Amino acid sequence: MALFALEHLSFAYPGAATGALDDVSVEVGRGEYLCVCGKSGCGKTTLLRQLKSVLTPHGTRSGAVLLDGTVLDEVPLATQARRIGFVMQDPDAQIITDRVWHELAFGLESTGCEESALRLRVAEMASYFGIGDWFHRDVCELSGGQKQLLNLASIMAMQPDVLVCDEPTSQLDPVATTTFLDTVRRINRDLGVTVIMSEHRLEEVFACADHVLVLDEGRVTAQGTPREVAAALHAAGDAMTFALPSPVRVYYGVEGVEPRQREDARDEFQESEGILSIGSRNGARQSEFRSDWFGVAEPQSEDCLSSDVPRPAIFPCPLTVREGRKWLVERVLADPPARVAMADEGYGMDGREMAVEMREVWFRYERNAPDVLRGADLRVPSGSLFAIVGGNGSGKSTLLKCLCDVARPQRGMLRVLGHDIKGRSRNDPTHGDVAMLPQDPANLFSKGSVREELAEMATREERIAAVARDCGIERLLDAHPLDLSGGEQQRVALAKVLLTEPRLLLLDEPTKGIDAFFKRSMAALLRTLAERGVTVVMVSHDVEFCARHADLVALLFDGAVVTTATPRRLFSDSAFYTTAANRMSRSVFAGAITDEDVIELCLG
Amino acid sequence: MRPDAFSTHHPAVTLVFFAGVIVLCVLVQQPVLQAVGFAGGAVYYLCLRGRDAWRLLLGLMAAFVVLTAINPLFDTLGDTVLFAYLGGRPYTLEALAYGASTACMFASVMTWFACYARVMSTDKFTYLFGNRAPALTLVLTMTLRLVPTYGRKARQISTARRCAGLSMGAGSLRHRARDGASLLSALTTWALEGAVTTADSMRSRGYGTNAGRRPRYARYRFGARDGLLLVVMLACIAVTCTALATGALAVTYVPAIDVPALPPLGVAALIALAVLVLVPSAIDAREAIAWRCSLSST
Repeated sequence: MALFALEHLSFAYPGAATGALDDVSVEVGRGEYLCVCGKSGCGKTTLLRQLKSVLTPHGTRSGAVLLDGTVLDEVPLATQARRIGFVMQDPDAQIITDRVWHELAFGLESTGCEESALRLRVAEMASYFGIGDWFHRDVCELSGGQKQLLNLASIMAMQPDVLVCDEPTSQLDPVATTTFLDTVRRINRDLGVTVIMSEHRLEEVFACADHVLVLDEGRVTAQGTPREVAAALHAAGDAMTFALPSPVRVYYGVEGVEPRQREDARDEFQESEGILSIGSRNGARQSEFRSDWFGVAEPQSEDCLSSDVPRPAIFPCPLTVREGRKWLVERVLADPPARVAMADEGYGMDGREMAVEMREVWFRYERNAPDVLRGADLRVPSGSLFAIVGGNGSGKSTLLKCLCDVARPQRGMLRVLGHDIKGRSRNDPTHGDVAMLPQDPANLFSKGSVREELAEMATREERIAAVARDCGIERLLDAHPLDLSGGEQQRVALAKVLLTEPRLLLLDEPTKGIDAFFKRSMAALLRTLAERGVTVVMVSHDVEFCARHADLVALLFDGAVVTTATPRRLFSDSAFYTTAANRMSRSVFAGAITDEDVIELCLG
Repeated sequence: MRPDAFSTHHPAVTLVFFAGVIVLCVLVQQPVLQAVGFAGGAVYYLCLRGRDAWRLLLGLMAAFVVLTAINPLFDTLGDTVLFAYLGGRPYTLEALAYGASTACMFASVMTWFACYARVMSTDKFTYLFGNRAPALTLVLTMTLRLVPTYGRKARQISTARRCAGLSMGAGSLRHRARDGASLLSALTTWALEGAVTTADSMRSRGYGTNAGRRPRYARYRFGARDGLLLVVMLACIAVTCTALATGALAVTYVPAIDVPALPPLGVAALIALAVLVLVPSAIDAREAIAWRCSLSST
C-alpha cells in the first residue's frame, strides 16, 4: 500500500473563481522520492499543504488524501506531527527558538518524549548533520544555508516517515542549495525516508527523483519516471521543457521529439567506413575527436564501440551531465558534425564610453575587519549587460554597494557614469542615475497595493503606465505586493527601480527564487533596457543565466577581478565554474556554453 | 568569549549568586563593604572580558565622580558646609559623602548586571523557569530571537530603499518622517508574514498536541561542586544579612557623618561579603592556575 495517496483531489480557495487544484491523483510509495514541479503559481505549495492537516489552507476540498490507507484528517495531529516532516521556503521564519540546540529539541519537546530518548535523538541528529560545531550558537549567527539545514535536522529529529519540502532552496545560493539537496538525498537513500519535494530549479532534483509530477494551473500535465516525464513534456511541446536539466533539453533538441531510429544508419556506417575512420569526413578534426574522446570515455562504452555487441538502438535520454557527456560522444562519433567549435563573437571595448571604471579599489567594513575588496579593477562599457560571477564571500555584493555609493572604498579610483565617487556629497543629484534592485525584492515594498508602490516613485501617470507595461505587471496593479509570487515581486520591484530612470541599473542576484519562465522574460526586459542605453550590472551565482544573456562576464575571487571576458570565452576556459551544457560538451565541442549552442553544433 | 569556569556551574547556582550579590550591594551602606562589593564585581568583569572591560569600568568610575559631585546640588542637608553658591545655597560634606555612597551602589549594581548578562544566557534562564511557565518562557525565547532579526531587517530595508533612490534621512522633516513611516510599514508587514510562517512551523512540529508535562532537553546537571558552592554562598549571604538586620553595619551620613568602627559581627560580614564577591573570580583563577600547571608539567 502506498504511504501517501491522493485520490481525485480538488481544492479551491474561498472566493476564487477557479480551483487551485483540479483532480490530482498520485501515489507515493515507501522510500520513494517524488518531485513536484511546475511554473510558479501552478499549485505546488497548495498541493503539498494538503499533506498535513494543520497546514491545509481554508477552502473547499473534494477527493481524498490517504496516509497508509487512512483518511489524513482522521489521523491524530500528534501522529501527523511525528510522521510527516514539513520544510518550508523561508529559512528564517521557520525557526522558532533562539538557540540551535533548543530548535533541534523543539519538536520532541512538543510531542512529548522521554527525556533520555530526547537527548539521544538530538545528539544523533546533530552528529548526522554535522551541527556539532554550531550546536550552542545563537540562530541569528547562522547563514541561510545553515538555517535551512537546521530546519531539516529539527524535523529529522522527530524521525518522520515522510519528508515534505516546499521549495526549500528558493532562498539559498547554489552552494547551499547543493548541500541541502544532497542531504535530502542522503536521508532518502540512507534512512529510507520518503521524500516529496517541490522545486523549480530542476537541474539537481530531476535526476534524483523516482517519480516526477508536473502541475499546470492545478492540473497534472505529466507524471511518471523522470525519463517518461521528459518525453511526455517534449511530445506535448510544454513550456515546462525550459526548466528541465540541460542534458535532457539538448538530447531532445538534437534527437527530436520522436528519437529517430538510428540503428540502420549506424550499421551502414560501421560497414562502409569502419571504426578507425570515424570522422574522416571531417578530415583534420578526426584526431581531435579521438584523443579527447578516449580521455573521457568509460570502459563500458568503449566495449560497445569496439566489440560486435550491437549498441542500443536508442540511447536513453540522459539526465545528468555524466550521462549527457556519454551520449554526446556516441552521438558525435556516429554522426560527425560539420563544425566542432562556436566562434567567439567578442565584445569590442575599444572606443566605448565606460559606465564604470574601477582601479585598485580596496574596501573593508570596519577598521579591524579583513579587506573585502582587495585591489579590484573593473571596466563596464555603457549600454552593456555586464555580469559579475564568483563564489560566496568573494566580494560581489560589496562591489555593488560601492557602485551605488552605500559603501565608500578606502583606497583606489572609482568613476561611475563619468563622476568620481570620491569627494561627492551623498545628496548629489547624479545619485539618481544609479539604482539597485535588492536581492530580496520585498525589501522595497511598503504599501498596500502595487499601484501605490509605483506611485511612490513617480507622479506622472503615463510614465507609470509605460513602465508597468514594460515590466508586464499591468494585471497586478491592484494586488498586494506581498501576495505575489517571487517572480512577480521581482518585476514590481524592478518597475519601482526603473521609475527612477537610472542610467546604471544594478541587480543583486536577480534570478534567486524565480523560475525558468520568469528568467526568460526578465532577460528580455534587461536586453530592451540595454538597447535603450541603460547599463546593466548584475552579480549572480546563476552561471546558466549569465552565459546565456550577458555581454561580458567578470569573475571575482578574493576581492579582485580575476578576468573579464565574453561569456563564451570565460566559461569555455573553465572546467568547473561553467554551465552544464559546457561541462557536457567540452570534450567534443569548443566554446559551446548554452544548450542551444550544443544543439546547433550537433545538427550543424 | 573568554573561558569562564564559573559559567559552567548549574544555572540555579549562578542565579542565586547574582540575586544575592545584587541585593546585598543595594542594601549595604557601610563604605568598606560597598567598596568590596564594587571591587569584586570589577575583578570578575575583568576576568570575563579582559581588556575590553575597561571601557565599562572607566565609564562607571567617571559616573561615580559626577554623581558624587552633583548630589550636594540637590541635597543641602548636613552640618559641614564646604562652600556656598548662588547666594548662599550650601554645598555640604555630608551630602557629598551620601552621594558617594549612592554612586558606589549604582556602580556596583551596574557592574554586576554586566557580569550577569555575560554569564546568565537566556537559555539558562529558560532552563530554570521552563517547567514553571512553559508558555511564558517560549514567548520569551521567541521574542529574544526577534529583536536582533528586526534590527537586521530594518537595516536591509533601509539600504535597499536608499539604493533604489528612495532617500532616507535626507530632505525636509516631513519627507523624512514619511520615509520613516514607510520603513516601519515595510517592517511590520514583513514581521506579520514571518509570524504566520513561524506559527505554521510550530503547529507542524506538534506544538500543543501534548497535554502532559513538557519534557526538556536539559543541558545542566546539578553536581556535588554545585551543591558545595551553593552552601558556601548561602552561608556568606546569611552572615551578611544577619549583620545588616542587627544594625552591625549601620552608618549615617546626614545630618552628620557617623561611621562607627565595625563590631565583630560586622567584621564577619565584611569577610563573608568579600568571600562571596570573589567566588567567581577565584574559581576562574583556580582554573587558570590548574591549566598553567598542566601545561608546564607536560
